Amino acid sequence: MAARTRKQTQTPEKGMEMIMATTPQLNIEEAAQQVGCAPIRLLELFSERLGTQEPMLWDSVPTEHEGLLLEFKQQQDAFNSVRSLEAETVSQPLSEASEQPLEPPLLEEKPEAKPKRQRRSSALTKKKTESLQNSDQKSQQLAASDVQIKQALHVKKGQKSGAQLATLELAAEDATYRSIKGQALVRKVAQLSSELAAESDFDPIQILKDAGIEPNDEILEALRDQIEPTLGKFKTAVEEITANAWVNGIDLGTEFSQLESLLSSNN
Amino acid sequence: MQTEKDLLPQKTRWSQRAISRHLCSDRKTVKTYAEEIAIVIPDYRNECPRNPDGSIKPGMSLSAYQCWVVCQLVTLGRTIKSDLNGTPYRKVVKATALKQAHLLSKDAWQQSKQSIAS
Repeated sequence: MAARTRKQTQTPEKGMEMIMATTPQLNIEEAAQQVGCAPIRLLELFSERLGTQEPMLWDSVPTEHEGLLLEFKQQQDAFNSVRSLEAETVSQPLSEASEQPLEPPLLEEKPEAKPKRQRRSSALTKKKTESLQNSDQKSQQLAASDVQIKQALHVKKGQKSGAQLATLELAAEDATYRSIKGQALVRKVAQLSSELAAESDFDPIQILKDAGIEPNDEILEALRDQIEPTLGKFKTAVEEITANAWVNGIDLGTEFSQLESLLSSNN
Repeated sequence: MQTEKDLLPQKTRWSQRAISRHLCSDRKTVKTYAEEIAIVIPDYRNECPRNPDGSIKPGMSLSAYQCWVVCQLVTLGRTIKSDLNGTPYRKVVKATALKQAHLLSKDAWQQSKQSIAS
């Protein structure tokens, strides 16, 4: 039992020591970043160097092969420096096996595109200056015609708005004129009708009775002689008013009926 | 007996999207198989277009041989996926492709073409 307990206590300690002693393995992507190439390229370099295809399955670089990373980095730096100096000459042999049959159009397009750009960047010729002048004149003409069109549009807009405003003003003036005239006429008729109504309440016989004087035929005749001329004037005035009202297009049917009733009562 | 659909495509190059349609699978699945798993096969890797830094061009179109390899590997993945449910079966597919690279070489593809034609 004592031996077992010793083993149990020693095993975890040893395990911890082993874990602490072992350095963590580098991930393939991190190692590729260190080397400065793509992960697949790094795996290819390992497989070429080790002579087996097994490194293609690696997710991380084993510690025993980490020493090769520095060598690969130097190799990659040298390759990059040479490629930067002679990019075209170095890239061709590399891509002969794989890229050339796949991407011929790209290689063909590049040399064609360069001389075109050079031709375009040449100095101004007579034709170019003439075409530039023509385009300038055309643009100026277009700008002038644009201004004229804008002015004509503003004029038309002003005409339209002025006509609308004048129409509104005339219509408002006509409406107010008609309304004020009608109101004045109504007031005048109302004044006359009230006067007539006051006259209709005038009863001389009742006033004489209130004064203690018995009415007789002579007094009544005298009163009629005094009242009738005024009633006659009222009648002519009412006829004039109604005639004017008809001329002005105002209906005075109610006033007519009142006046007629007054006249009939007085008669 | 093989139908027309089972025959290899007659196009010179196939996009990954077209292959995914042909296999009735997701486009990302085909991308993973084409750019991470099938590259362990040397003949396949040699036909891959590369960037200047040596990495494989992402989203590359595949040749008829590469299309055949991807189809074979996807089929293998579908087969073992049900048995290895819950485990990283794509690593198994990758290891199998590396170990059986001679069965997925260009010569094997040409032989299979001839056998289908005959």
